[in-house]
Amino acid sequence: MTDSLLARVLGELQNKTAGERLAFIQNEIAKIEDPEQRELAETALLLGMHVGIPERRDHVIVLVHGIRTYAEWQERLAGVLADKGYELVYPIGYGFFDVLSFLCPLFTRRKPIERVLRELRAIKTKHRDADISVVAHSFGTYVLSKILEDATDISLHRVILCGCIVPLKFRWDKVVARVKGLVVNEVGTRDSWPVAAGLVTWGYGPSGTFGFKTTHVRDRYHNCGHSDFFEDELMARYWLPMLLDGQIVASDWTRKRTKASSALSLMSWFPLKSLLGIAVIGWLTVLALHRVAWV
Amino acid sequence: MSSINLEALIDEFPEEAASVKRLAAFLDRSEKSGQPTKELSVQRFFDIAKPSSQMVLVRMLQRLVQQGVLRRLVRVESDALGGIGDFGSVADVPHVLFDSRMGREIEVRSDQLKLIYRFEPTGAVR
Repeated sequence: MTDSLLARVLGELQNKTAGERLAFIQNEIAKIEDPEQRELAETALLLGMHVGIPERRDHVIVLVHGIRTYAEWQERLAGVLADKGYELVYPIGYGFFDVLSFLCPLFTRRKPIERVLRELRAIKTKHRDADISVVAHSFGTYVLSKILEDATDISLHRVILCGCIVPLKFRWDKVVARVKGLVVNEVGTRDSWPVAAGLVTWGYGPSGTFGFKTTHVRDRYHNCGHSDFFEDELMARYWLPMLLDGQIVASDWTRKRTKASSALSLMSWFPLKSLLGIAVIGWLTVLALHRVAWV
Repeated sequence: MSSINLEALIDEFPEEAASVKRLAAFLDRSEKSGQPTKELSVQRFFDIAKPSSQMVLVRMLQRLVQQGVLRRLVRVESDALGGIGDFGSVADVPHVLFDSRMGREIEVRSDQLKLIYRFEPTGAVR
């Protein structure tokens, strides 16, 4: 039962006569099929009857997607949240971001960052007293890390990262003061994309495959790949309790997971881009020397 | 330190660490006074823990029930004070109940319901 549903039931209860109230409560609770949810609702209702209708603080949830997608998961998660009574959900996009723009370490990444930042500032203006939480996927996690790094006017409530490509050495200690609640990194141990991104270009890292392993971020491991986080069951089981009440539901895979595959480990430390850089510099040097000799 | 260790709850609800510590301190004090708390109403839990929201307290209590630390029961209280019946859930509460304290059958009202959590002796989370 969410705060809004609880407020509605408690409000309607006031309009019932003393003799009708018990039956009304029993009927309302009986409508909830899931026994766990029913118990939660009953507890919330009995608590609310004694301490009053909870005051609601607006909570805006912002969803930021990755590359090469228009992210249908955003609308699905928005729907799941709306079912729970949370209407203030903003899926944010920055258009179709192609692989070349993603790989290029200069210029191209700036536009999506500015776009998301503009959106966040607009939401902040529109909902002045609201808490703002963010769910970001893949390139969206990189965008968010840059916003946290640079835009000191942006403060967040809770953050969920998945398919995260932020470098492992990201200084969470410098930005975590602007996240009031928790930062959870959903790690997919079969997700090779964060490793590949860090392998071939600058600015990214394998945090979505191996975890940050820092006190400032809670890594939660799952036996899944880059875009497997958007199953309804996973969102309902792990994300809703976290977003709505700050509850970290433990995943079994966090303890059970096996050693990362040798290929992923090798990819994570192999200095491909540095070697490519050296090769390019060497090639240019040789070319220049030949030119001098020819002149 | 109370025999009931609530550290696991802080791990699951890190934002509520202060609330859990307030609750642990209360249990510790009551244990040291020689009169350990056997049960608390949900309202008392709320007053002691001062959680950031009602829903988060509800979720924390549910976890403690699932872990076997607490047992949850719905108590019907007599207008003459004192419980006259404990039930597993609101659905189990009959509309008419014999009030042993008043010596007659009464029609149960919703304001007579009280949610109680009893501390289970073997339920300490380690």
